Amino acid sequence: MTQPPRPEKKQNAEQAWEQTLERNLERWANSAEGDGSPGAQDAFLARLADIPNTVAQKPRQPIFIDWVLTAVKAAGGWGFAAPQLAGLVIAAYLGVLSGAAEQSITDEVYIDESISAHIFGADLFFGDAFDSGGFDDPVVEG
Amino acid sequence: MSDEMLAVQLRGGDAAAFHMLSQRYAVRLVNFAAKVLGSTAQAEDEVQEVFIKLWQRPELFDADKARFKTWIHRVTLNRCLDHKRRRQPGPIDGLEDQLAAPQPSAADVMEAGGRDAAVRRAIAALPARQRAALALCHLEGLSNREAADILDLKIKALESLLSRARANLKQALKPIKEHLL
Repeated sequence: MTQPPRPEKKQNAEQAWEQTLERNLERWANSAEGDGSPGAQDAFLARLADIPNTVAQKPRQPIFIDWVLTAVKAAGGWGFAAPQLAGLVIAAYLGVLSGAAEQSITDEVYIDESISAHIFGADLFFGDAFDSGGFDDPVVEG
Repeated sequence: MSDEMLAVQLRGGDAAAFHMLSQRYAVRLVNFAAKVLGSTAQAEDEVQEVFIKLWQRPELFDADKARFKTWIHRVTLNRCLDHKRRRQPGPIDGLEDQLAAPQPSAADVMEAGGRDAAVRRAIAALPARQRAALALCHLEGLSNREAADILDLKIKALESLLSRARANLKQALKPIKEHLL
């Protein structure tokens, strides 16, 4: 009957395996892929050196576009999907419109949450706020 | 001159600054991108696009948010991941190919191309982000912190990604373990 390997022997074998793996990874990471010859590298660098002669620099985009892109990226980071983002933009736009309209009539700014609720479904974004009485107006069932 | 200063000079259309940055990073980025994509030709195309973007829109780099080295690696990685996503066959499209051509085992690959080929094959089979993490952490001159920043991860998450990558690699290379030791 064969004896099971002693714990320290098993540990040594495991360590040797780890080290072998690391050595192989080092070799892989620092080796050139494909044709890594200096000639091939020079040819690629020459391709890049031509970029300033052949590609025009673009004028800087307006700051508000930066702002919109940042907001969209941040919303993406919070887990909003594309359709929800589109809804959010439309809601914000309508909100601004309705706010502006209200302002012109009553000289007060307020966001028309019924429009937002209609677009998103109240449960999705504002359900808790509505349920907890966070807003005075009733929810419009959509 | 520092990378960051050169990047600022790019905003004024300084071709010499562009040239210096490409000399410093192009080869290294191609090597890194090739590890993620598994193809030098594709890697060169993606890195060229990165440098075109850098020339066209140098203001996209913000020295207050990141070091140039971290930023350009991150842009390159994102391009590579996008490239892989675009090229990924759908579940139905790819199924026939997969059924028709079963993947060779590590032992088969080693017999045909040697140990290095078997290791490369096993690494190539890892998910792209795991492969990117391994490449970044084993490339000279990049700390774990820099690698985590490039991958947009916390250090802990990077360690976990690396640990999964190594576990998968061990599993794939298990049949030829004795030959590698």
